[in-house]
Amino acid sequence: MGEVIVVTSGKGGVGKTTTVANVGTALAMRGNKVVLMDADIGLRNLDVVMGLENRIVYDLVDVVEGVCRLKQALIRDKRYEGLYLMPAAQTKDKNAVTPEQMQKLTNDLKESFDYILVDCPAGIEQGFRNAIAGAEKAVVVTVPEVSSIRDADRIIGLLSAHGIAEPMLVVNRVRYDMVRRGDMINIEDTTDILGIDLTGVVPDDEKIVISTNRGEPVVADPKSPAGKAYRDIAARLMGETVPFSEAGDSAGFVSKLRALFGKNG
Amino acid sequence: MDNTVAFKGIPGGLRLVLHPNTAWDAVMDAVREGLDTRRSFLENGAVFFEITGRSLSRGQKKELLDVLNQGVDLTGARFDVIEAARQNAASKNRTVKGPVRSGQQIDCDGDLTVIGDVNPGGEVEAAGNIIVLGHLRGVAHAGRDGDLGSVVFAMRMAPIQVRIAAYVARPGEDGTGPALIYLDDTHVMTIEPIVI
Repeated sequence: MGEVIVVTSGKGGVGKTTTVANVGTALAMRGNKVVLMDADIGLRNLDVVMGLENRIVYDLVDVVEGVCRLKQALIRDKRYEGLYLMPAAQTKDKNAVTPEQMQKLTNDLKESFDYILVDCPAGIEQGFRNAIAGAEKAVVVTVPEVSSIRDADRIIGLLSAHGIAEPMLVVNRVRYDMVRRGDMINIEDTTDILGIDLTGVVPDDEKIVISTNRGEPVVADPKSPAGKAYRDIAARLMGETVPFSEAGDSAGFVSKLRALFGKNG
Repeated sequence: MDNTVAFKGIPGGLRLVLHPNTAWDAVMDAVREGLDTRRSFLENGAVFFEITGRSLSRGQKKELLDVLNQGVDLTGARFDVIEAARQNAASKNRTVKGPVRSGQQIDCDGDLTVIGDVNPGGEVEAAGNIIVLGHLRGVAHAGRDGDLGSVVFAMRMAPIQVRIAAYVARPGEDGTGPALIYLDDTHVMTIEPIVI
């Protein structure tokens, strides 16, 4: 029996889709059977980020309306064994499905998959209610900005009102150089306000932009700091204890040089 | 005379302060008696009554108004139960576990205690005092029914806004240690750090 995890944030553009794509891929790389479900009906993106756009025939709304069978809408990933995408419809809107239908859909998927990651749309309306309907766990994504943290706080309250009490926190797009200068809200202050457990810290990484445009999740890149962070998150979702390190992040050229000189001198 | 009903002159009329715990019949008797002794004063002109001290049922209000109306040029009556509300407040006090998150609103007819934080975008409101045993970063409104004596206390005071009765202030989000916010005699909102 699989686990349904909704990835949500309230605010748009903080990296929900990127998180779903990368954490899902990392889970599949470790041998899990994974479905990435795009619940952003009418504004689908996950297929593009995964580079599977041109394979869509049926979508989530088709399944719910009985136009096709569940298996027909699932798109097998071209690179990773056990990784599937359930695309959203692009020509419908959020009212095309109900929370009850989403719950049934995720329940059906749970029977044959280990993880169902639901990519939640921004906002707190119908689309949000649909996306969380079948989920028993949640990952809340925020960036270290006041407005994003405020929205994440609201989302945590709404999740708990819907029975998802202890969501996991991912702080995305952290720039450690700015944090050190005191120009960016640090992780501690973020978790202090939100009061939930930290599951991952993803450093700002320009490789994300490149990989998103190419449709190849960055998590497969062994050199990418963000990729490592996503692999760590996947491991933590699987119940492993992985220490938080600032590694990857500070690994600017200068700091590496400094480390080198430090060692030699 | 006992304190079953106290009569006080106010501009344009009389204030009747009713004892909250005395039997209703005794109160009514005291009202009739008090009105009789002031009959000459009351017949001089239009009278406005302000009734305070205890909350009344609809039937009691009507009974009281009927009595006040006899032989008096009544211009109106106002039932003011602030005193009574204060005495009943104990049962209306509320304690909630925080955090009070963005978008959440906690309301209370007495004193409100929050065990935990009030986050930015969260709102706590009380007819009486507000005590936050945590970090107040949202909006707090004490004395929302007009009680100027209400206060706001927080272990860390960094609210977006504090309101007491009809007064609003922005104490600043920089944050301090434990602090008390109240209205001084001239209704200026005052923040007083508390050293523990």
